[in-house]
Amino acid sequence: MEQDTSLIKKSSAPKGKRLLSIDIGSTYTKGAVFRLSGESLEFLNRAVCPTTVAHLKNGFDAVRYRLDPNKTADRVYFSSSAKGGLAISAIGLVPDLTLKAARSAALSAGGKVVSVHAYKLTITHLEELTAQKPDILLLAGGTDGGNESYVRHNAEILCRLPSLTPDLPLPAVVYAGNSVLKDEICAMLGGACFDVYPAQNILPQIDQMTPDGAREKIRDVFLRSIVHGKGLDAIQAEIGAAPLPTPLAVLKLVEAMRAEAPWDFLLIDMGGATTDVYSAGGGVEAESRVIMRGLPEPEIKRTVEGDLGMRVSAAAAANSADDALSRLLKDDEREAFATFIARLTAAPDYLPAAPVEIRFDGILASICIQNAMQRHAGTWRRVFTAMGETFVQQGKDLRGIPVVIGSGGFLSAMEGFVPGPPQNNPHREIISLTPERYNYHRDYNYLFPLLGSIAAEFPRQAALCAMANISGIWV
Amino acid sequence: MRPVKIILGVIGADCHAVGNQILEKVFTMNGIEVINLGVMVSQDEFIDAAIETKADAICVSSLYGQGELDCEGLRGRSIERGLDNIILYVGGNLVIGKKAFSETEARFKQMGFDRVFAPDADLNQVSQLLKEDAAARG
Repeated sequence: MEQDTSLIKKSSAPKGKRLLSIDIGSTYTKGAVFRLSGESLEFLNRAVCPTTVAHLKNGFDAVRYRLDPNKTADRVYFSSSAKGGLAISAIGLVPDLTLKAARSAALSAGGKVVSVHAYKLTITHLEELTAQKPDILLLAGGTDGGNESYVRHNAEILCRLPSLTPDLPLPAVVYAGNSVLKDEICAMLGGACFDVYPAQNILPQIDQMTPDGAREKIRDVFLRSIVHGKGLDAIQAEIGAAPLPTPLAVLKLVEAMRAEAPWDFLLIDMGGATTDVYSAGGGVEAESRVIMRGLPEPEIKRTVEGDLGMRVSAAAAANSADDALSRLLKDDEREAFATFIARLTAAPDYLPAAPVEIRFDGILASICIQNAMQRHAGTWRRVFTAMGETFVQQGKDLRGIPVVIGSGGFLSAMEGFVPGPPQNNPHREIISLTPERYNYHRDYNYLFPLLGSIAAEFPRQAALCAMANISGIWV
Repeated sequence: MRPVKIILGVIGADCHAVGNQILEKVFTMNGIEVINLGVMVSQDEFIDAAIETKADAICVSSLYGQGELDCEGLRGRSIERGLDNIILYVGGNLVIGKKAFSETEARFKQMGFDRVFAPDADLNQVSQLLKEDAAARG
């Protein structure tokens, strides 16, 4: 059942300001127009056009024309997922420490982590790294005043990259390692023709993560390098504002909703190629039999699963979930399901039509969501000690999360689809701390990325508007 | 000269938290920079923290009698992971049963620990030894 959207008043009185927000995705360019009056932001209308890959401004203009033909909107915002996100290679020292922090910082900046490298880089690593064609190298390692030798070594190796790949554009480097080395490393890499962006150390102390500095620099790189070409700069010149990377826009909205919503929540943004999970809150266990381990978790956390998605990643997603599949499918359906997945992989724009295909599509979505939730959530490891049974917790405990919100092309459109919680076996040695019982909401107008751009300027209004435009069902 | 930096923690599945806090206090009072990982710390967690912070020493506590089992291999693992010159200290109720301390000490030194301390060790003296050992390694 759709919730009553009585908050949307279709009054024609031209009070307040009209805000237009447009998001350029890899397949579709979506837009919506809102009315802002004081504390209230009201959704008026939306439009969609195919993304015009050769010149993005054409698709942008088409959407704009349908929503704001006379260009009278008071403000225009836009976001772009630019090639599915900024490709980032994260380089750290210890996998569980600076590398984990670097990975987390890259994701929270709206990036797509294409490779990770721990300890010492070698020439072989460089070749692997180049094959992934990262836009940014996020170079970390060492707490402030801590290890110097590994980071210095890695910077020295990176200096050989220009001569190894003279024909490729060099990735920008964001340096967020041991601050003692900041000047030295930046000079060294700058001398090798890299664009270097020095940032605050992402792990200044062993138990303190500070991703904000690196996040900002990653956004700077996005603005300076990605915006150029393909028409984004023309849009920027016309409307006089810079775009946000789409995942960062969504993250801004999640931050804004966190401040307004009385509940902790999980947002699942699922596309054809990836499944993004954002958690707001969710916590740190206070029970005495639980011992916390690992880096502290950010209050708002984003993870991206590149092998879980509804189309391009359908085969990988199906392969990753054999257990769940045998639970969700009848025995004689396995083969038909495999055929369905093969068809999606061959033709990602295929639209399921037959009832059984629609059911399979739902199963595929459930698998992606449950898997993505499991990878996002923390774990308990059972340990028997002299003081009895104890649990060692890594990551966030999301079992009590009361609200899960679905967004993205598929989830926004699927009325009546409710993803169930992942099955968890409490007797296993490793217990996954995924949500257990929650109210499932749907961003049924697919407004979240659009509201995200507005949230950067009007957080409270955007958050309230997002919360007024979701439908809810208890599972 | 920068202060001596140590990684402190109780190894294995051992939850004894009080002594750990006392160690942190006394070492800090003696001008040592302490990175305290708390209780139930694995060998790799000690090593991870030492690599990332460039610590001078790893100080391991064990009070529940399984210290020998938990500490076995720490030296080798440290070397393997790039800490070829780190100082390793261990102290506490290291073994179950009535063994002469000299026997326990010999066993842990053979495992690669630089110094081994009984439960009644004087912590100010331990601090002094840490500074001397760190200075000697440069």
